[in-house]
Amino acid sequence: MSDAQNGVLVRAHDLTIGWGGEALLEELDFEVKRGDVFAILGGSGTGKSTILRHLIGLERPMSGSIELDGRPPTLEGRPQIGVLFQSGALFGSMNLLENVALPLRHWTELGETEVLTVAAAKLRLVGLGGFESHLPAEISGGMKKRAGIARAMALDPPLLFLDEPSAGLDPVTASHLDDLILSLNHNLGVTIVLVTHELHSIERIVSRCILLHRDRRGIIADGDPRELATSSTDVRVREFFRSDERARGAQV
Amino acid sequence: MTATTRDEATTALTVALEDARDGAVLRFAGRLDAGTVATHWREARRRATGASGSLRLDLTELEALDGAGAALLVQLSRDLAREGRDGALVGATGPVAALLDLYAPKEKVPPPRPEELHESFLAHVGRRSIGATEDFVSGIAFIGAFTRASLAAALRPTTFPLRDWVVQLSRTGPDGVAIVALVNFLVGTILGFQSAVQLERYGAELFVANLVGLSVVRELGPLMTAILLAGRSGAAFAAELGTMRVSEEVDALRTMGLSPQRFLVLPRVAALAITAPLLTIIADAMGILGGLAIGCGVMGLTLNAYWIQTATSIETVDVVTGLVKAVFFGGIVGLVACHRGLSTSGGAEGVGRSTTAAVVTVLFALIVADALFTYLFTLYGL
Repeated sequence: MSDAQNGVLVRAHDLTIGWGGEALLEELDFEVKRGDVFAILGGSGTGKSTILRHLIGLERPMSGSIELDGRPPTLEGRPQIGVLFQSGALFGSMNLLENVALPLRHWTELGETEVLTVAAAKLRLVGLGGFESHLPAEISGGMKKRAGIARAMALDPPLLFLDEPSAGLDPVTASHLDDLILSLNHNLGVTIVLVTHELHSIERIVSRCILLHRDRRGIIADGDPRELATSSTDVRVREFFRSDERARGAQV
Repeated sequence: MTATTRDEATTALTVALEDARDGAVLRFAGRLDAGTVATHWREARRRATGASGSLRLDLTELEALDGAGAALLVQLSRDLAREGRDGALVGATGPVAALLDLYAPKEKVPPPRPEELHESFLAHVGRRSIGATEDFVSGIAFIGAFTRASLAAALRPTTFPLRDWVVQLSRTGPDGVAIVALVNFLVGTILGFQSAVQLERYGAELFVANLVGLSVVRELGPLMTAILLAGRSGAAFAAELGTMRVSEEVDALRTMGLSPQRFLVLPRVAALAITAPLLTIIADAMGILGGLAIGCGVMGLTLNAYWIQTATSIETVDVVTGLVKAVFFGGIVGLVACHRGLSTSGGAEGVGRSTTAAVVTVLFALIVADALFTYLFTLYGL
């Protein structure tokens, strides 16, 4: 049965990735189904963001293959994916509206008025109505992330990659961002692949995850995070999902 | 054999080497912390390495241990183990054991020895050579990608980033006029002065006009302008693109299917290829004016004589070859600076590094290109 039929949108097969001839992660195998909110989890330095960069096509794997909807990732042509970078990566010289309008201008035949209308609607979608003419330097970190999501959603891609969407945000803002991600997933049917280590977000929004471990140089768990947290036989897995509790316990 | 070192003033630490049935034991007693490590560690280590055969480190009587002490103990234990001399840390209890565990987690791969952290000279040379080769190859790939982006824009002119190009034209051109004019005027006066001193001996003062005019128009006008552009615009390009690179904006462009070559590099290089010859025209004029100021102001030539002498000595081909060079120089400044900017890595520090590298590489490339041009022009009698 082909990937399109069984609903697999992202497939990584026997994937080995690394820098300068040195493997960081070896023989990864995982797949993301259409409609998933899929998380790549792991401690810092395990290569979560690096996997993401490979899935997007920014880096070439050392060996193995990646398929997005049956095709290898490419940066040529009209993009089929949207990407939110960790810092938001908005273009500093353009206001928010122009940032969102950029891919629309280039990849659609829309006229100038329509482009601006669509871009403004995308900003309202992420709750940034009224901030169209602000420059990235004039808005907060959480707003930058939301603007980044609006830009990533500009061309209505079916697949969205988010690199640590709630990192560095206060709990309230982070929770709003989680709402937004859930809403994109539920209401617009967008499949989401995200890198995170915020356990709150994982519990709330993630439907499937893989957990990376540095010593193992690969995946040590694959499944529903809530099940893994309670019933995994691997002590490292349970420890990862408990680390937040322990941190909170230590504070009291 | 029993040996004991004891410092009467600070009885804080005792290190004793004892023979036991199953090999020697180095017994630590008292406190091993910042204070005693400084005074006792060298001696303890000498005892350990001076002995032969299996040696264990007994910490049963060690009362206190700090981070420095733990790190040194763990290193000593590892060194002994590496030499096949056991080196086991035994008898630690309570906080001492807890701290040792922190410094000696059960790693599969032992950490490198301190001396292994320093790269050897040969390894350094090797790494730098590989880096230089990769730089060269990536530079060629960059030129290829730029050519492709230029062709694509030429085939579909509507995709040319017109707005960015205009912005870059204004930033590289009009904003640089004052400094280009001033510097080239001064270069003209310097040339005038230097040549006047020599030519006066032969009563050939009038030829100052030829010398200044030709050197400025053929060589110094384009070169000085390009050098100023490297400092002004080249550094700015590298810093700007470098910052975009480290803040992932370049990656963001790529994921939107937009080529950084076309959107960032093309408008900048195209802007410099236009502004460099335009600025060179100003530079030529100001250089000649500089020579004229010396010729007429200091050496007493008449304005008319100097002007006619200049006009007859400089031919159209001299001006054109100078301007052709200027176009290429502008392109070189833009390409090299953008390449350096886009290959930035390593945060704010990386941006600083690529800005410096951009200016240095551009200057080097300019001189090489100028030599090449001079050779070619001479070859074809231009």
